[in-house]
Parts: sequence; C-alpha cells; structure tokens
Amino acid sequence: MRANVLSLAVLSTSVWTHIYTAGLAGDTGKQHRDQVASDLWDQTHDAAAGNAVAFSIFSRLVRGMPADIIWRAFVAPRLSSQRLTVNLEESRVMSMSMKLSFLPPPPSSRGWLRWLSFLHLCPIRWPTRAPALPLSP
Amino acid sequence: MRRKAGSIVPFERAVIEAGVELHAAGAPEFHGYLLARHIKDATSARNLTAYGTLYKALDRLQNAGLLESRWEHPEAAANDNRPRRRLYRVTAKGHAVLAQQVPEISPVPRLRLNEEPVS
Repeated sequence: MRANVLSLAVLSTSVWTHIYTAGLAGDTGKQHRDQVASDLWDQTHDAAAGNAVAFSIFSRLVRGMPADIIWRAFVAPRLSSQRLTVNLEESRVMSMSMKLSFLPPPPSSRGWLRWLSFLHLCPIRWPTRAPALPLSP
Repeated sequence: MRRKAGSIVPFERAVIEAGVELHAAGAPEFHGYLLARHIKDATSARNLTAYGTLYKALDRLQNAGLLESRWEHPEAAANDNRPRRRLYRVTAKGHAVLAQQVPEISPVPRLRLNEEPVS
C-alpha cells in the first residue's frame, strides 16, 4: 500500500513536469524534467527522509505548481517563441494542402476559373494594410 | 512588478547561504535535493522546498550569475544506478551579493517605549 502511494506520488510529479514543460524549444524542458527526476530519486532513496516520503513529494508538487504555471506562462514563451512561429507556419501550409487535395480536377477553362475563385475564398488571408482615410481639405 | 537589479528575495538569499554553508562543510557543489534538505534543517521548516519554487529560484540565480551549474558526468550516475544530477556552485558574485545583503537584514536595535534616545 505504502509503495503504491509512493509510486503514485512519483508518477504524478513526473506527469506534471512533462505537462508544464511540453513543447519547449531546445533542452529547456528536458533539463527541468531531468532535474526533478534526479530530485525524486534522491528523496526516495534518502534514508533520513522518514516514512512520509509520499506525502512530502505530493506536498512539494502541489506547493510548487503556482511557480511552474507562472514560469510556463511568462518565462518559457520567451524561450520557445521561435518554435511556436515555425509551428504556426507549418499548420498554415498543412491546412492549405489539405484543402487542395480534396478539390476535383478542373474539367474546362470555366472550371479553372471556379477553382481559382475557390482558392481566392480560402480562409488563408495575408495581412493587408487598412485603406487610407481621405484627407480633410 | 520588477525588482531592483542586483537584489535578491529572502528565499534566494537562503539558497546562496545554504550553498556557502555546504561548501564550508566540505561539499563544494550541491544538487537540488541536498539543497532543499539543508534549507529545511537550517530553518527548522516542516516541509522541503517545493520543486517549482526551488528549481525556478536556482534558474534565476544562475541567470543572474550568482550560481553556476554543470551536469554530472554520466558515468558517475551510471555507477550508482541513478539519474544524473545537476550540480551547483556559488560564484564569486554570489558571495559578494550575500556579503552586501547581510548588513541590510541584520537586526537593527530598536528603542523601547520607556527608553530615552541617546543623544
């Protein structure tokens, strides 16, 4: 029973660490996960840790969650902004290619025109400059 | 709210102090769990420092140049059949900041209500 609770505490901490470090660029996420994994191992193998190791791990996990969330919300985006940009570009290209793959082949010149008009109506819009307001005389 | 450059919060100060004490006790480098246990013992706290609080503070101190770290050699960890540890050390800048902070938090003698101020 005690071993099960300890395993659950370790698993919960690992899962949470994977959640809040998911998708980070470079080694940032992996380094955080490795540090916490090392800490968990040290605590579970510390002879002086006492009997309430599982409770201590749960407690450390829950009390640290606000810091994890704040770090993920405000610090980590600066580290992974480059990767986010790339992902957005990839998803844009993917959505366009999926739409094109469902189109039937154009049968005639009129069909070509319809096809081009469909492309024009695709929801992929590039940013355009707002029309200039007329100057007052 | 942004804090003043070069200032540290009380927990960060406790981390640097613990690092200095561990160094004096013969452990020039320390890992996260060792640090958490030392802080718990030194402050007589009931619980170890939370993972989120501890490792974010270590990150901040390292970015500020008050700590430096390195990953343990994989062979050392493999020999003990455990995950690699990240080992920290207090830098010279960390020692200097700690020395600057001490006078600020030293107890200031306060006048009692029934005492006359010394002129």
